[in-house]
Amino acid sequence: MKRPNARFTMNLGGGLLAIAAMGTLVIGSTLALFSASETSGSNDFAAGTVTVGLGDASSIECDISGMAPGDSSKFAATGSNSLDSCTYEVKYTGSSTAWLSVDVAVATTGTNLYTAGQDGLQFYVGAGSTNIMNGTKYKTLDGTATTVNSGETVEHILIAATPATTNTTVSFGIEYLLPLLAPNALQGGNTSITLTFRAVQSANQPIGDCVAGQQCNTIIWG
Amino acid sequence: MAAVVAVGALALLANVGLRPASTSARFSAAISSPPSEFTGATLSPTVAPVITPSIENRFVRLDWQRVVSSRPVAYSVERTMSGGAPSSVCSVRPAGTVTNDIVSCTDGTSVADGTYSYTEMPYIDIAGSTPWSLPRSTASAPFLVPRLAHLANGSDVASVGANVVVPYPTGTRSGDVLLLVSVSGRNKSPTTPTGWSELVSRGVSGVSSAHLYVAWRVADASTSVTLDPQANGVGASTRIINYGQVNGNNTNPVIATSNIVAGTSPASTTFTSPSDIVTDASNAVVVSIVATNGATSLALSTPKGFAFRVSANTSPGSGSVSFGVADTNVAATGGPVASPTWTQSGTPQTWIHATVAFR
Repeated sequence: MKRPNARFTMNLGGGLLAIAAMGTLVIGSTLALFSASETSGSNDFAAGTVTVGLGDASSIECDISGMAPGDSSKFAATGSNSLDSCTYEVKYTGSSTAWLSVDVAVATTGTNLYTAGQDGLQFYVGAGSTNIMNGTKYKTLDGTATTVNSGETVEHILIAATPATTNTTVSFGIEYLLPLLAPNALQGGNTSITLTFRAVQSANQPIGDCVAGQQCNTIIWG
Repeated sequence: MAAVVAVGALALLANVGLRPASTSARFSAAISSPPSEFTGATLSPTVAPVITPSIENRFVRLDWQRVVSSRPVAYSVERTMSGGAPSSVCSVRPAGTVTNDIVSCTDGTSVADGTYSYTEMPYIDIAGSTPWSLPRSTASAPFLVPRLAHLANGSDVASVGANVVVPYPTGTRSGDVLLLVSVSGRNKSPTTPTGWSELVSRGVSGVSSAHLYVAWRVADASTSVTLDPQANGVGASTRIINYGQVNGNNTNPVIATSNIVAGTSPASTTFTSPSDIVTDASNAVVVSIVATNGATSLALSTPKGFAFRVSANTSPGSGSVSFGVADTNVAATGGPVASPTWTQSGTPQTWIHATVAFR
Protein backbone atom coordinates (compact mmCIF):
# COMPACT_ATOMS: atom_id res chain seq x y z
CA MET A 1 0.00 0.00 0.00
CA LYS A 2 3.07 2.39 0.09
CA ARG A 3 3.72 2.20 -3.64
CA PRO A 4 1.66 5.20 -4.67
CA ASN A 5 3.70 7.44 -2.30
CA ALA A 6 6.93 6.13 -3.66
CA ARG A 7 5.81 6.94 -7.29
CA PHE A 8 4.91 10.46 -6.22
CA THR A 9 8.41 10.93 -4.79
CA MET A 10 10.00 9.86 -8.02
CA ASN A 11 7.76 12.15 -10.03
CA LEU A 12 8.57 15.07 -7.79
CA GLY A 13 12.28 14.51 -8.30
CA GLY A 14 11.91 14.39 -12.08
CA GLY A 15 9.98 17.70 -12.10
CA LEU A 16 12.73 19.50 -10.24
CA LEU A 17 15.32 18.30 -12.68
CA ALA A 18 13.21 19.57 -15.58
CA ILE A 19 12.85 23.01 -14.06
CA ALA A 20 16.57 23.24 -13.57
CA ALA A 21 17.21 22.31 -17.18
CA MET A 22 14.80 24.90 -18.49
CA GLY A 23 16.47 27.57 -16.42
CA THR A 24 19.80 26.71 -17.92
CA LEU A 25 18.47 26.97 -21.49
CA VAL A 26 16.83 30.35 -21.02
CA ILE A 27 19.94 31.82 -19.58
CA GLY A 28 22.06 30.38 -22.49
CA SER A 29 19.94 31.84 -25.38
CA THR A 30 20.45 35.39 -24.39
CA LEU A 31 24.19 35.28 -24.20
CA ALA A 32 26.27 37.09 -27.07
CA LEU A 33 29.15 35.09 -28.68
CA PHE A 34 32.02 36.01 -30.99
CA SER A 35 31.16 34.90 -34.63
CA ALA A 36 31.67 35.67 -38.39
CA SER A 37 30.02 34.76 -41.78
CA GLU A 38 30.48 35.20 -45.59
CA THR A 39 27.89 34.85 -48.43
CA SER A 40 28.79 33.32 -51.76
CA GLY A 41 28.33 35.20 -55.04
CA SER A 42 24.86 34.75 -56.71
CA ASN A 43 24.57 31.67 -58.90
CA ASP A 44 22.12 32.59 -61.72
CA PHE A 45 20.28 30.15 -63.92
CA ALA A 46 18.42 31.41 -67.05
CA ALA A 47 16.60 29.23 -69.53
CA GLY A 48 17.13 29.60 -73.25
CA THR A 49 14.10 30.34 -75.43
CA VAL A 50 12.53 28.64 -78.39
CA THR A 51 10.23 31.04 -80.18
CA VAL A 52 9.02 31.64 -83.72
CA GLY A 53 7.41 34.54 -85.51
CA LEU A 54 6.59 36.00 -88.87
CA GLY A 55 9.45 36.83 -91.13
CA ASP A 56 10.55 40.26 -92.20
CA ALA A 57 9.17 39.79 -95.71
CA SER A 58 5.43 39.79 -96.30
CA SER A 59 3.68 36.51 -96.91
CA ILE A 60 1.35 36.05 -99.87
CA GLU A 61 -1.81 34.34 -98.80
CA CYS A 62 -3.58 32.81 -101.77
CA ASP A 63 -7.30 33.08 -102.40
CA ILE A 64 -7.60 31.71 -105.89
CA SER A 65 -11.14 31.48 -107.24
CA GLY A 66 -12.51 30.38 -110.58
CA MET A 67 -9.72 27.93 -111.27
CA ALA A 68 -10.04 25.97 -114.47
CA PRO A 69 -8.12 22.98 -115.84
CA GLY A 70 -4.64 24.03 -116.88
CA ASP A 71 -4.35 26.85 -114.37
CA SER A 72 -1.10 27.03 -112.45
CA SER A 73 1.01 29.42 -110.44
CA LYS A 74 3.96 31.30 -111.83
CA PHE A 75 6.63 28.78 -110.99
CA ALA A 76 4.74 25.55 -111.36
CA ALA A 77 6.40 23.12 -113.74
CA THR A 78 3.51 23.15 -116.22
CA GLY A 79 0.19 24.85 -116.81
CA SER A 80 -0.66 28.45 -117.45
CA ASN A 81 1.87 29.85 -114.96
CA SER A 82 -0.41 32.84 -114.79
CA LEU A 83 -1.53 32.86 -111.17
CA ASP A 84 0.18 34.16 -108.08
CA SER A 85 2.39 31.87 -106.06
CA CYS A 86 1.72 31.69 -102.34
CA THR A 87 4.46 32.34 -99.77
CA TYR A 88 4.70 32.02 -96.04
CA GLU A 89 7.56 33.95 -94.47
CA VAL A 90 8.60 32.97 -90.94
CA LYS A 91 11.56 33.37 -88.64
CA TYR A 92 13.07 31.45 -85.77
CA THR A 93 13.50 33.98 -82.97
CA GLY A 94 14.55 31.87 -79.98
CA SER A 95 17.89 32.10 -78.24
CA SER A 96 18.50 28.35 -78.14
CA THR A 97 19.42 26.44 -81.21
CA ALA A 98 16.47 24.53 -82.59
CA TRP A 99 15.25 22.00 -85.09
CA LEU A 100 12.69 23.37 -87.55
CA SER A 101 9.88 21.50 -89.20
CA VAL A 102 6.60 22.11 -90.95
CA ASP A 103 3.19 20.47 -90.82
CA VAL A 104 1.06 20.39 -93.97
CA ALA A 105 -2.74 20.23 -93.78
CA VAL A 106 -4.93 19.98 -96.88
CA ALA A 107 -8.68 20.33 -96.32
CA THR A 108 -11.99 21.05 -98.00
CA THR A 109 -15.49 22.07 -97.04
CA GLY A 110 -17.30 20.52 -99.99
CA THR A 111 -16.39 19.12 -103.36
CA ASN A 112 -12.67 18.66 -103.16
CA LEU A 113 -10.50 20.25 -105.80
CA TYR A 114 -7.68 18.14 -104.37
CA THR A 115 -8.22 14.47 -105.19
CA ALA A 116 -4.91 13.14 -103.84
CA GLY A 117 -4.37 11.89 -107.38
CA GLN A 118 -2.96 13.14 -110.65
CA ASP A 119 -6.25 14.60 -111.84
CA GLY A 120 -6.78 16.96 -108.94
CA LEU A 121 -5.09 20.05 -107.62
CA GLN A 122 -1.34 19.60 -107.16
CA PHE A 123 0.71 21.37 -104.51
CA TYR A 124 4.45 21.95 -104.69
CA VAL A 125 5.61 23.13 -101.27
CA GLY A 126 9.21 23.97 -100.56
CA ALA A 127 11.46 25.85 -98.18
CA GLY A 128 14.50 26.98 -100.05
CA SER A 129 16.07 23.87 -101.55
CA THR A 130 14.07 21.55 -99.32
CA ASN A 131 11.05 19.92 -100.92
CA ILE A 132 8.16 19.51 -98.54
CA MET A 133 5.37 18.32 -100.83
CA ASN A 134 5.57 17.34 -104.47
CA GLY A 135 2.18 17.26 -106.15
CA THR A 136 0.34 14.99 -103.76
CA LYS A 137 3.26 13.32 -101.99
CA TYR A 138 5.50 13.87 -99.02
CA LYS A 139 8.35 11.68 -97.76
CA THR A 140 8.25 9.66 -94.58
CA LEU A 141 11.21 9.14 -92.29
CA ASP A 142 12.63 6.40 -94.48
CA GLY A 143 12.16 8.43 -97.66
CA THR A 144 9.04 6.70 -98.91
CA ALA A 145 6.85 8.96 -101.04
CA THR A 146 3.43 8.93 -99.41
CA THR A 147 0.15 10.54 -100.38
CA VAL A 148 -1.08 13.56 -98.49
CA ASN A 149 -4.73 12.85 -97.78
CA SER A 150 -7.23 15.64 -97.49
CA GLY A 151 -8.44 16.14 -93.96
CA GLU A 152 -5.24 14.84 -92.41
CA THR A 153 -2.19 16.74 -91.21
CA VAL A 154 1.24 15.56 -92.24
CA GLU A 155 3.45 16.48 -89.31
CA HIS A 156 7.06 17.30 -88.73
CA ILE A 157 8.73 17.43 -92.10
CA LEU A 158 12.24 18.52 -91.24
CA ILE A 159 13.35 21.72 -92.89
CA ALA A 160 17.10 21.44 -92.30
CA ALA A 161 19.48 18.88 -90.82
CA THR A 162 21.43 21.53 -88.96
CA PRO A 163 19.98 23.42 -86.00
CA ALA A 164 18.65 26.88 -86.59
CA THR A 165 20.01 29.82 -84.71
CA THR A 166 18.40 33.07 -83.73
CA ASN A 167 16.85 35.00 -86.62
CA THR A 168 17.04 32.13 -89.06
CA THR A 169 14.41 32.93 -91.68
CA VAL A 170 12.41 30.36 -93.59
CA SER A 171 10.49 31.18 -96.75
CA PHE A 172 7.90 28.59 -97.72
CA GLY A 173 6.73 28.65 -101.29
CA ILE A 174 3.49 27.04 -102.47
CA GLU A 175 3.15 26.45 -106.20
CA TYR A 176 0.06 24.75 -107.55
CA LEU A 177 -1.41 23.28 -110.70
CA LEU A 178 -4.88 22.15 -111.72
CA PRO A 179 -4.14 19.64 -114.48
CA LEU A 180 -5.86 19.76 -117.86
CA LEU A 181 -7.28 16.34 -117.14
CA ALA A 182 -9.14 17.55 -114.06
CA PRO A 183 -12.59 16.00 -114.42
CA ASN A 184 -15.86 17.88 -114.75
CA ALA A 185 -16.85 16.70 -111.29
CA LEU A 186 -14.30 19.09 -109.77
CA GLN A 187 -16.25 22.07 -111.09
CA GLY A 188 -16.82 24.45 -108.17
CA GLY A 189 -14.66 22.38 -105.83
CA ASN A 190 -12.54 23.97 -103.15
CA THR A 191 -9.41 23.13 -101.19
CA SER A 192 -7.23 24.87 -98.65
CA ILE A 193 -3.69 24.25 -97.55
CA THR A 194 -2.25 25.36 -94.23
CA LEU A 195 1.37 25.23 -93.07
CA THR A 196 2.40 25.08 -89.42
CA PHE A 197 5.98 26.10 -88.73
CA ARG A 198 7.50 24.36 -85.73
CA ALA A 199 10.69 24.77 -83.71
CA VAL A 200 12.01 22.64 -80.86
CA GLN A 201 15.21 22.81 -78.88
CA SER A 202 18.04 20.91 -80.48
CA ALA A 203 20.06 20.69 -77.29
CA ASN A 204 19.99 17.24 -75.70
CA GLN A 205 18.00 16.01 -78.64
CA PRO A 206 20.11 14.41 -81.36
CA ILE A 207 18.56 14.37 -84.79
CA GLY A 208 19.24 10.72 -85.36
CA ASP A 209 18.23 9.46 -88.81
CA CYS A 210 16.13 12.47 -89.75
CA VAL A 211 16.77 14.02 -93.15
CA ALA A 212 15.68 17.40 -94.44
CA GLY A 213 12.57 17.14 -96.56
CA GLN A 214 11.37 14.01 -94.82
CA GLN A 215 9.14 13.40 -91.88
CA CYS A 216 11.07 13.44 -88.60
CA ASN A 217 9.19 11.75 -85.82
CA THR A 218 12.15 10.41 -83.82
CA ILE A 219 12.62 13.55 -81.84
CA ILE A 220 10.19 15.19 -79.49
CA TRP A 221 8.63 18.31 -81.03
CA GLY A 222 7.34 19.69 -77.73
CA MET B 1 10.01 -9.52 -46.11
CA ALA B 2 13.41 -8.50 -47.43
CA ALA B 3 12.52 -9.76 -50.94
CA VAL B 4 9.38 -7.59 -51.09
CA VAL B 5 11.35 -4.50 -50.16
CA ALA B 6 13.92 -5.24 -52.86
CA VAL B 7 11.28 -5.59 -55.57
CA GLY B 8 9.62 -2.33 -54.50
CA ALA B 9 12.92 -0.50 -54.67
CA LEU B 10 13.59 -1.80 -58.18
CA ALA B 11 10.16 -0.72 -59.30
CA LEU B 12 10.76 2.74 -57.93
CA LEU B 13 14.08 2.94 -59.70
CA ALA B 14 12.52 1.83 -62.92
CA ASN B 15 9.89 4.51 -62.63
CA VAL B 16 12.39 7.21 -61.97
CA GLY B 17 14.49 6.12 -64.88
CA LEU B 18 11.75 5.73 -67.50
CA ARG B 19 9.05 8.25 -66.80
CA PRO B 20 11.04 11.41 -67.47
CA ALA B 21 12.07 10.14 -70.92
CA SER B 22 8.53 9.32 -72.07
CA THR B 23 6.76 12.45 -70.90
CA SER B 24 9.33 15.15 -70.72
CA ALA B 25 8.66 18.33 -72.66
CA ARG B 26 11.03 20.23 -74.84
CA PHE B 27 11.13 23.91 -75.36
CA SER B 28 9.14 24.42 -78.55
CA ALA B 29 7.04 26.87 -80.49
CA ALA B 30 4.79 26.84 -83.53
CA ILE B 31 2.97 29.23 -85.78
CA SER B 32 0.44 28.48 -88.50
CA SER B 33 -0.16 30.20 -91.77
CA PRO B 34 -3.61 31.40 -92.75
CA PRO B 35 -5.14 28.81 -95.09
CA SER B 36 -4.55 29.44 -98.77
CA GLU B 37 -7.82 28.86 -100.57
CA PHE B 38 -8.41 27.42 -104.05
CA THR B 39 -11.81 27.27 -105.71
CA GLY B 40 -12.74 25.75 -109.03
CA ALA B 41 -14.64 27.59 -111.73
CA THR B 42 -18.38 27.25 -112.06
CA LEU B 43 -20.90 27.87 -114.83
CA SER B 44 -23.91 30.08 -114.23
CA PRO B 45 -26.79 29.51 -114.52
CA THR B 46 -26.41 25.91 -113.48
CA VAL B 47 -29.00 24.66 -115.97
CA ALA B 48 -28.18 25.04 -119.64
CA PRO B 49 -30.68 27.43 -121.26
CA VAL B 50 -33.04 26.15 -123.93
CA ILE B 51 -32.51 27.21 -127.55
CA THR B 52 -35.03 29.28 -129.48
CA PRO B 53 -34.78 28.72 -133.25
CA SER B 54 -35.88 31.24 -135.85
CA ILE B 55 -35.14 32.10 -139.47
CA GLU B 56 -32.66 34.77 -140.41
CA ASN B 57 -31.10 35.34 -143.81
CA ARG B 58 -32.34 32.05 -145.26
CA PHE B 59 -30.92 29.96 -142.40
CA VAL B 60 -31.99 28.81 -138.98
CA ARG B 61 -30.78 31.16 -136.31
CA LEU B 62 -30.40 29.79 -132.79
CA ASP B 63 -30.62 31.97 -129.70
CA TRP B 64 -30.21 31.14 -126.04
CA GLN B 65 -29.33 32.80 -122.79
CA ARG B 66 -25.66 33.30 -122.16
CA VAL B 67 -23.82 31.16 -119.61
CA VAL B 68 -20.99 32.83 -117.76
CA SER B 69 -17.88 31.59 -115.99
CA SER B 70 -14.50 32.87 -114.97
CA ARG B 71 -13.27 31.68 -118.37
CA PRO B 72 -14.59 31.89 -121.92
CA VAL B 73 -17.58 29.65 -122.37
CA ALA B 74 -18.17 27.74 -125.57
CA TYR B 75 -21.26 25.79 -126.53
CA SER B 76 -21.66 22.46 -128.19
CA VAL B 77 -24.87 22.76 -130.21
CA GLU B 78 -26.62 19.74 -131.61
CA ARG B 79 -29.73 19.25 -133.66
CA THR B 80 -31.90 16.20 -134.00
CA MET B 81 -34.40 15.36 -136.69
CA SER B 82 -37.32 13.27 -135.61
CA GLY B 83 -35.99 9.76 -135.03
CA GLY B 84 -32.50 10.72 -136.10
CA ALA B 85 -29.18 10.85 -134.34
CA PRO B 86 -27.85 14.15 -133.00
CA SER B 87 -25.48 16.05 -135.23
CA SER B 88 -23.26 18.95 -134.36
CA VAL B 89 -23.90 22.50 -135.54
CA CYS B 90 -22.24 25.79 -134.66
CA SER B 91 -18.75 24.36 -134.27
CA VAL B 92 -17.10 27.75 -133.80
CA ARG B 93 -15.38 28.11 -130.41
CA PRO B 94 -16.70 29.96 -128.59
CA ALA B 95 -19.81 29.48 -130.61
CA GLY B 96 -21.58 32.40 -132.19
CA THR B 97 -21.81 35.89 -130.86
CA VAL B 98 -23.22 37.41 -127.69
CA THR B 99 -25.50 40.43 -127.71
CA ASN B 100 -27.32 41.57 -124.61
CA ASP B 101 -26.53 38.26 -122.93
CA ILE B 102 -28.10 36.31 -125.78
CA VAL B 103 -25.85 33.86 -127.60
CA SER B 104 -26.58 33.29 -131.27
CA CYS B 105 -25.34 30.99 -133.93
CA THR B 106 -26.51 29.84 -137.33
CA ASP B 107 -27.34 26.33 -138.38
CA GLY B 108 -25.91 26.42 -141.85
CA THR B 109 -27.02 22.98 -142.98
CA SER B 110 -30.64 22.62 -141.95
CA VAL B 111 -33.01 22.63 -144.92
CA ALA B 112 -36.50 23.82 -145.69
CA ASP B 113 -39.31 21.44 -144.77
CA GLY B 114 -37.09 19.75 -142.18
CA THR B 115 -38.18 19.69 -138.55
CA TYR B 116 -35.41 19.94 -135.99
CA SER B 117 -34.93 20.09 -132.25
CA TYR B 118 -31.86 21.76 -130.83
CA THR B 119 -29.82 21.39 -127.64
CA GLU B 120 -26.74 23.11 -126.36
CA MET B 121 -24.09 22.24 -123.80
CA PRO B 122 -22.02 25.07 -122.32
CA TYR B 123 -18.45 24.29 -121.41
CA ILE B 124 -15.35 26.14 -120.33
CA ASP B 125 -13.30 26.53 -123.46
CA ILE B 126 -9.74 25.49 -122.67
CA ALA B 127 -7.88 23.67 -125.39
CA GLY B 128 -6.76 20.20 -124.46
CA SER B 129 -8.73 20.06 -121.25
CA THR B 130 -11.39 17.70 -120.06
CA PRO B 131 -14.31 20.09 -120.61
CA TRP B 132 -16.01 21.43 -117.54
CA SER B 133 -19.57 21.65 -118.65
CA LEU B 134 -23.23 21.71 -117.71
CA PRO B 135 -25.58 18.90 -118.61
CA ARG B 136 -26.96 19.43 -122.11
CA SER B 137 -30.07 21.61 -122.27
CA THR B 138 -33.48 20.18 -122.81
CA ALA B 139 -34.48 20.10 -126.46
CA SER B 140 -36.08 23.10 -128.09
CA ALA B 141 -39.60 22.79 -129.38
CA PRO B 142 -39.55 21.06 -132.80
CA PHE B 143 -38.89 23.70 -135.42
CA LEU B 144 -40.17 23.37 -138.97
CA VAL B 145 -37.85 25.17 -141.33
CA PRO B 146 -40.06 27.26 -143.62
CA ARG B 147 -39.71 27.33 -147.37
CA LEU B 148 -40.03 31.08 -147.51
CA ALA B 149 -39.18 33.63 -144.84
CA HIS B 150 -39.05 37.37 -144.58
CA LEU B 151 -35.66 38.42 -145.82
CA ALA B 152 -35.62 42.18 -146.36
CA ASN B 153 -37.66 45.32 -146.86
CA GLY B 154 -36.70 47.36 -149.90
CA SER B 155 -36.30 51.11 -149.81
CA ASP B 156 -39.47 53.17 -149.65
CA VAL B 157 -40.13 55.22 -152.75
CA ALA B 158 -42.36 58.19 -151.95
CA SER B 159 -43.63 60.09 -154.97
CA VAL B 160 -46.45 62.16 -156.38
CA GLY B 161 -45.48 61.26 -159.93
CA ALA B 162 -45.98 58.38 -162.28
CA ASN B 163 -43.54 55.67 -163.27
CA VAL B 164 -41.56 55.42 -160.08
CA VAL B 165 -38.63 53.03 -160.01
CA VAL B 166 -38.88 50.68 -157.06
CA PRO B 167 -35.63 48.84 -156.23
CA TYR B 168 -35.46 45.21 -155.27
CA PRO B 169 -34.24 44.72 -151.70
CA THR B 170 -30.56 44.05 -151.22
CA GLY B 171 -29.77 40.36 -151.24
CA THR B 172 -32.56 39.35 -153.57
CA ARG B 173 -31.91 36.13 -155.44
CA SER B 174 -33.73 34.53 -158.27
CA GLY B 175 -36.48 32.37 -156.88
CA ASP B 176 -37.40 34.65 -153.99
CA VAL B 177 -40.93 35.91 -153.57
CA LEU B 178 -41.18 39.68 -154.08
CA LEU B 179 -44.20 41.59 -152.83
CA LEU B 180 -44.78 44.98 -154.38
CA VAL B 181 -46.78 47.08 -151.90
CA SER B 182 -48.00 50.53 -152.85
CA VAL B 183 -50.22 52.79 -150.72
CA SER B 184 -51.62 55.86 -152.39
CA GLY B 185 -53.69 58.75 -151.11
CA ARG B 186 -55.84 58.45 -154.18
CA ASN B 187 -58.28 55.61 -154.61
CA LYS B 188 -57.22 54.40 -158.02
CA SER B 189 -55.75 51.05 -159.07
CA PRO B 190 -52.27 51.05 -160.58
CA THR B 191 -51.47 49.06 -163.68
CA THR B 192 -49.68 45.85 -162.85
CA PRO B 193 -46.09 45.87 -164.17
CA THR B 194 -45.03 43.25 -166.65
CA GLY B 195 -43.91 40.05 -165.00
CA TRP B 196 -45.87 40.75 -161.84
CA SER B 197 -49.22 39.40 -160.68
CA GLU B 198 -51.74 41.48 -158.87
CA LEU B 199 -52.90 40.11 -155.53
CA VAL B 200 -54.89 42.95 -154.02
CA SER B 201 -56.09 46.31 -155.26
CA ARG B 202 -58.51 47.84 -152.77
CA GLY B 203 -59.29 51.36 -151.73
CA VAL B 204 -61.60 53.77 -149.99
CA SER B 205 -62.85 57.15 -151.11
CA GLY B 206 -63.87 60.28 -149.31
CA VAL B 207 -61.92 62.06 -146.61
CA SER B 208 -59.94 58.89 -145.93
CA SER B 209 -59.25 58.27 -149.58
CA ALA B 210 -56.53 55.66 -149.98
CA HIS B 211 -55.62 52.65 -152.07
CA LEU B 212 -53.62 49.52 -151.23
CA TYR B 213 -52.08 47.72 -154.15
CA VAL B 214 -50.16 44.42 -153.72
CA ALA B 215 -48.55 42.43 -156.53
CA TRP B 216 -46.01 39.63 -156.47
CA ARG B 217 -43.52 37.76 -158.60
CA VAL B 218 -40.76 35.23 -158.34
CA ALA B 219 -37.58 37.26 -158.43
CA ASP B 220 -35.60 37.32 -161.62
CA ALA B 221 -32.29 38.90 -162.34
CA SER B 222 -33.75 42.38 -162.41
CA THR B 223 -32.92 44.90 -159.71
CA SER B 224 -36.00 47.13 -159.85
CA VAL B 225 -39.50 47.52 -161.24
CA THR B 226 -41.24 50.60 -162.63
CA LEU B 227 -44.76 51.28 -161.34
CA ASP B 228 -47.23 54.05 -161.87
CA PRO B 229 -49.02 54.18 -158.50
CA GLN B 230 -51.72 56.46 -159.91
CA ALA B 231 -51.04 58.94 -157.17
CA ASN B 232 -52.34 62.49 -157.02
CA GLY B 233 -50.91 65.40 -155.05
CA VAL B 234 -51.21 63.43 -151.84
CA GLY B 235 -48.61 61.03 -153.24
CA ALA B 236 -47.89 57.31 -152.82
CA SER B 237 -45.48 55.17 -150.84
CA THR B 238 -44.17 52.06 -152.59
CA ARG B 239 -41.67 49.39 -151.71
CA ILE B 240 -40.78 45.75 -152.36
CA ILE B 241 -40.61 43.16 -149.59
CA ASN B 242 -38.59 40.00 -150.12
CA TYR B 243 -39.73 36.62 -148.81
CA GLY B 244 -36.61 34.71 -149.64
CA GLN B 245 -36.17 31.04 -150.26
CA VAL B 246 -34.78 29.34 -147.18
CA ASN B 247 -31.73 27.12 -147.48
CA GLY B 248 -32.58 23.87 -149.21
CA ASN B 249 -35.73 25.18 -150.86
CA ASN B 250 -35.31 24.67 -154.58
CA THR B 251 -38.97 24.64 -155.50
CA ASN B 252 -40.60 27.45 -157.43
CA PRO B 253 -42.72 29.56 -155.04
CA VAL B 254 -46.48 29.56 -155.51
CA ILE B 255 -49.51 31.13 -153.89
CA ALA B 256 -50.65 28.89 -151.04
CA THR B 257 -54.28 29.87 -150.76
CA SER B 258 -57.26 29.72 -153.00
CA ASN B 259 -58.87 32.68 -151.32
CA ILE B 260 -56.86 35.82 -150.69
CA VAL B 261 -58.46 37.88 -147.95
CA ALA B 262 -58.80 41.61 -148.56
CA GLY B 263 -61.13 44.45 -147.70
CA THR B 264 -61.69 47.70 -145.91
CA SER B 265 -62.87 48.47 -142.42
CA PRO B 266 -64.17 51.62 -140.74
CA ALA B 267 -61.80 53.82 -138.84
CA SER B 268 -60.92 52.51 -135.42
CA THR B 269 -57.90 52.24 -133.19
CA THR B 270 -57.64 48.48 -133.62
CA PHE B 271 -58.40 46.13 -136.44
CA THR B 272 -58.70 42.39 -136.83
CA SER B 273 -59.54 40.94 -140.21
CA PRO B 274 -63.09 39.58 -140.09
CA SER B 275 -61.98 36.70 -142.33
CA ASP B 276 -59.12 34.32 -141.70
CA ILE B 277 -57.08 33.02 -144.59
CA VAL B 278 -56.98 29.28 -145.24
CA THR B 279 -53.81 27.84 -146.71
CA ASP B 280 -53.97 25.08 -149.27
CA ALA B 281 -50.45 23.74 -148.83
CA SER B 282 -48.23 22.89 -145.89
CA ASN B 283 -45.37 25.00 -144.64
CA ALA B 284 -46.72 28.25 -146.08
CA VAL B 285 -45.90 31.80 -145.12
CA VAL B 286 -48.95 33.95 -144.45
CA VAL B 287 -48.54 37.71 -144.83
CA SER B 288 -50.86 40.28 -143.27
CA ILE B 289 -50.80 43.76 -144.83
CA VAL B 290 -52.70 46.81 -143.59
CA ALA B 291 -52.76 50.40 -144.83
CA THR B 292 -54.40 53.72 -143.91
CA ASN B 293 -54.57 57.26 -145.16
CA GLY B 294 -52.80 59.11 -142.38
CA ALA B 295 -49.55 59.55 -140.55
CA THR B 296 -50.35 56.76 -138.16
CA SER B 297 -47.96 54.27 -136.69
CA LEU B 298 -49.16 50.73 -137.23
CA ALA B 299 -48.26 47.94 -134.84
CA LEU B 300 -49.42 44.52 -133.76
CA SER B 301 -51.37 44.57 -130.53
CA THR B 302 -52.30 40.86 -130.60
CA PRO B 303 -49.81 39.07 -132.86
CA LYS B 304 -51.34 35.58 -132.74
CA GLY B 305 -48.05 34.18 -133.90
CA PHE B 306 -47.37 36.84 -136.51
CA ALA B 307 -43.99 38.56 -136.55
CA PHE B 308 -44.00 42.28 -137.20
CA ARG B 309 -41.85 43.18 -140.21
CA VAL B 310 -42.34 46.80 -141.15
CA SER B 311 -44.42 49.86 -140.41
CA ALA B 312 -44.01 53.01 -142.41
CA ASN B 313 -45.86 56.27 -142.44
CA THR B 314 -44.78 58.84 -144.94
CA SER B 315 -45.87 62.12 -146.42
CA PRO B 316 -45.02 61.64 -150.07
CA GLY B 317 -47.02 64.69 -151.15
CA SER B 318 -49.61 66.90 -149.54
CA GLY B 319 -50.91 64.08 -147.40
CA SER B 320 -49.74 61.05 -145.50
CA VAL B 321 -50.13 57.29 -145.91
CA SER B 322 -49.05 54.36 -143.81
CA PHE B 323 -48.80 50.62 -144.04
CA GLY B 324 -47.70 47.65 -141.98
CA VAL B 325 -46.63 44.08 -142.73
CA ALA B 326 -46.45 41.01 -140.49
CA ASP B 327 -46.19 37.30 -141.23
CA THR B 328 -46.28 33.85 -139.78
CA ASN B 329 -45.36 30.38 -140.96
CA VAL B 330 -48.11 27.79 -141.01
CA ALA B 331 -47.11 24.15 -140.95
CA ALA B 332 -50.43 22.45 -141.54
CA THR B 333 -52.84 23.05 -144.36
CA GLY B 334 -56.60 23.27 -144.49
CA GLY B 335 -57.45 25.26 -141.39
CA PRO B 336 -58.08 28.97 -140.89
CA VAL B 337 -55.08 30.99 -139.75
CA ALA B 338 -56.09 33.31 -136.93
CA SER B 339 -55.64 36.93 -138.00
CA PRO B 340 -53.56 39.28 -135.89
CA THR B 341 -54.92 42.47 -134.39
CA TRP B 342 -53.39 45.68 -135.62
CA THR B 343 -53.45 49.03 -133.90
CA GLN B 344 -52.89 52.53 -135.18
CA SER B 345 -51.83 55.67 -133.36
CA GLY B 346 -53.38 59.12 -133.60
CA THR B 347 -56.77 59.86 -135.11
CA PRO B 348 -58.15 56.54 -136.38
CA GLN B 349 -58.29 56.13 -140.14
CA THR B 350 -60.12 53.67 -142.35
CA TRP B 351 -58.34 50.35 -142.63
CA ILE B 352 -57.47 48.64 -145.89
CA HIS B 353 -56.21 45.12 -145.43
CA ALA B 354 -55.02 42.04 -147.25
CA THR B 355 -53.83 38.58 -146.21
CA VAL B 356 -51.92 36.43 -148.68
CA ALA B 357 -49.98 33.16 -148.49
CA PHE B 358 -47.08 31.56 -150.37
CA ARG B 359 -44.99 28.46 -150.17
